[in-house]
Amino acid sequence: MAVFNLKSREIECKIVFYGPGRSGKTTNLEYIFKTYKKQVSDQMVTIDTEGDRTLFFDFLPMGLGKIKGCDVKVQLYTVPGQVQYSSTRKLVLKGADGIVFVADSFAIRREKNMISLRDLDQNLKECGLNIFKIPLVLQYNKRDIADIPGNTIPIMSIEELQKDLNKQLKVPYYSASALSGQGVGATLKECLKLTLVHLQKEFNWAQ
Amino acid sequence: MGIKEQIKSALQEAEMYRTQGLLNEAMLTYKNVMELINKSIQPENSRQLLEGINNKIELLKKTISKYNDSDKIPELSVDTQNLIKEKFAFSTDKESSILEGAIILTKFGQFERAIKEFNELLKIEPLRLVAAKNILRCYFASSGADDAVSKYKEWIELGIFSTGQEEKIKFFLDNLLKEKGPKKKLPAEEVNENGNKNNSVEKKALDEKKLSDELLLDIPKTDDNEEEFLDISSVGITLGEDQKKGLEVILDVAFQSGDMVSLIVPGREKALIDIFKIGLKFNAINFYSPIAILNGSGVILTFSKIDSGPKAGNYSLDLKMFTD
Ligand SMILES: Nc1nc2c(ncn2[C@@H]2O[C@H](COP(=O)(O)OP(=O)(O)OP(=O)(O)O)[C@@H](O)[C@H]2O)c(=O)[nH]1
Ligand SMILES: [Mg+2]
Repeated sequence: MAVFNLKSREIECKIVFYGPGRSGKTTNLEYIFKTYKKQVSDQMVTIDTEGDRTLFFDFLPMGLGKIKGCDVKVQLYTVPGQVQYSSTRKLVLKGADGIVFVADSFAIRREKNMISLRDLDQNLKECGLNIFKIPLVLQYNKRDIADIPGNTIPIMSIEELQKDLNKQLKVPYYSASALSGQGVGATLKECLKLTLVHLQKEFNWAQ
Repeated sequence: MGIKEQIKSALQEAEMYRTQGLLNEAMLTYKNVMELINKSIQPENSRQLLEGINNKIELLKKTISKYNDSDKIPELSVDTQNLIKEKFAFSTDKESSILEGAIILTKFGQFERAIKEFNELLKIEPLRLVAAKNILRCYFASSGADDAVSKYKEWIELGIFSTGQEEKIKFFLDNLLKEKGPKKKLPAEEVNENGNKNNSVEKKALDEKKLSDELLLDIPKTDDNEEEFLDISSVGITLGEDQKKGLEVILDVAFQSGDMVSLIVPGREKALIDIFKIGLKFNAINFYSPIAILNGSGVILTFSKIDSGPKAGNYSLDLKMFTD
């Protein structure tokens, strides 16, 4: 739920990284935290369990500076991907202005990707939002594994992932490696762009 | 690929899943490798290899069950709890934001701090009842039914609530016990899979499933959307044209579960008792909560005479609420 302060010309929006457990959502935020130091406005908060699974959420606040005469702030969140944390996922998703869906490229996680996307659709509905309308970007993560010379671990091709996840949605998608950072910035930038354009319609914040 | 290469790459695959925290996938892959070995290698040549894989599987099993057991929700640092309150409670009104903040803490399993905050709210008259109910709910979800019951007894001994409030709290607790009690093993009886008594401290362990079960009391699920209902303390029904026109009848809420409230209609209200029947709709209802009055409508789900107990002679009425 974006907040727009007309007086101080400040806009604050919320972007949520969604996706199945272990797909690399936290790793995305960690990379952003490390890499965009200038824009990061405070510490990254991580609440995880033993074994690095996110228990509640990760939180990273950023300030993008002035865009079209408006001070733009953005709060990045990750949800816990494991199925059993469904109620927390809903809480964290509430009020999202934009979403990055991080899919796992491992073939063995194919179904988990699809289940998680359906779960996103369902939870958005419960928040009164529509998956076809909310700013959404897909990220096909862990592409670095396919590039390991002599790799034999089954990895889905981008075409397969597109067919599974983006056939109806037709939203922008990026291949990425959150571990090396490849594609992480591009994913975030696209999601921010879509979100700010979307919010322009709502608030007319840009001068 | 020759059989050796197949085995080698499957082992690498399993190892990769393990390091990625995909433990079930790692286990499955190891099991497939074992099958492959059993099918294609002479037993005398494969014993060592199989033993090695078996060890890996055992280790994975241990890790998985350790994670399952450590699904305890930790009490977070005060700073993190404050962040949660700041980010997930949206009310701007002071009183309701204190209440909402405490409720948010319970949703994130931060029961100790939530109980502390609800205890503070006991001092604010309009919020006392809802705070008391939430305290019982927190005990129920964290340390179990026993603690909720002893808290209630403590309050009664201290006499800090009015008789009317005491009654409502008791009704609430009874329903909580009815709904959750039988399913929830009390700490004293809890026995684990091996037949050993569990340490009651472990009762603190709380998985998400249980947490959401408990908190569904807060967030009733409706068919198409999830709406939060405030705790309603009384209901003002304005009777329609063909009844006693324009008259607002105020009835106290005995129990609330989501969008359904149970009301007690005093036996002496003959005129009302004649009007009320199952399925009757009211288009103008005020729902009074400690922090707000909501306008809406409602429909009678059940209506029956109470035959026994202290309320005998009165009528009990369940009303489904629709707020505007
Ligand atoms: N090779 C590779 N590994 C990755 C990549 N991204 C994440 N990982 C690994 O995948 C595992 C899970 O990553 P996390 O970022 O914790 O996943 P998550 O989506 O936050 O998981 P949950 O919190 O359980 O929902 C870790 O071991 C990461 O190092 C990637 O791009 N390439
Ligand atoms: Mg995570």
